[in-house]
Amino acid sequence: MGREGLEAALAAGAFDQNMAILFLGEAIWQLLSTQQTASNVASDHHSQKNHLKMTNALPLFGIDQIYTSQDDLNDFSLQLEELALSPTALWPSELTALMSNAKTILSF
Amino acid sequence: MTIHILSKSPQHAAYKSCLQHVGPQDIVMLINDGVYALKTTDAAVQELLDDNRLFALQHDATVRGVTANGASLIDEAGFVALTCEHSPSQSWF
Amino acid sequence: MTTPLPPVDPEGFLCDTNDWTKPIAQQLALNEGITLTDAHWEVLDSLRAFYQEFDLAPAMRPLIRYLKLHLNKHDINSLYLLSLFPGSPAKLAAKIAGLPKPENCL
Repeated sequence: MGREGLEAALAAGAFDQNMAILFLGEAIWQLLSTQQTASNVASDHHSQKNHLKMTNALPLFGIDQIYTSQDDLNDFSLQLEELALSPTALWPSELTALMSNAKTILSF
Repeated sequence: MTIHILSKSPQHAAYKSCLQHVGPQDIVMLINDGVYALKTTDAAVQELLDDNRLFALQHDATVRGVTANGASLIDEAGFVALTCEHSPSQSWF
Repeated sequence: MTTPLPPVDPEGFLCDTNDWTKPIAQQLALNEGITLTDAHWEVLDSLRAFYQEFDLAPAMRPLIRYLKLHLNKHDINSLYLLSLFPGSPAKLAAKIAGLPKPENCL
């Protein structure tokens, strides 16, 4: 689902929508900066695309409010420094506040 | 009061996440394969049914052969109205 | 004088971006009634760099942001791109640069 969510964000960004993007739970892996594209892919090229490359385009689409969850980072034993795009890590109460201020939320 | 718009069947991670995130005042709108929730006996679904906080798109339920089972079946206009009455809307894909 | 084109899709986009060469770009541009100048080339080169970096062909707004950063030209705007690539700049420039059709592009 990572790709669909990313495409929705990029499409909305192309139309200058004010938005934030949250990488929660397993989605955090999508930001791991060490991921590589499989070079020996024969058939299904599309699904093997490096999501990180597209993810890195978010700021160019005007999306610069990028967040993740500190609890989830701790669960996965990840450090903020290992992630691309320098997201801001939020505590549960901050996440709740952010989401309750939004008008529309899309969860992928 | 959030309206959660759920379009995935009970086997999907999005379905489980959605039901985990429903607050005590929130309502849930089932569309597409989300209507299969009406076939389950999940405690979370039962609780929503008891409080009249579970809605489903009539058409999507009918074509899948799913009956209301206590939920409110509504048409597209009703869905739009419900979305207008609740904010934010949270869609689960 | 025409340069033979590699396979293209029904809309005229190259089927394989690796087939792209500068003579092919010139031919693709001529087919659209455009003679490429240095101003065109710097946009095309940036577009190809964008695609290399992000795995996607950009729509207009992100392309302009990228050009501003990349070419260090802060006066680039949509009118400028329209003057180089009339009609639908992101789509047309992507076609001539040998990229797939931009997603999220009208």
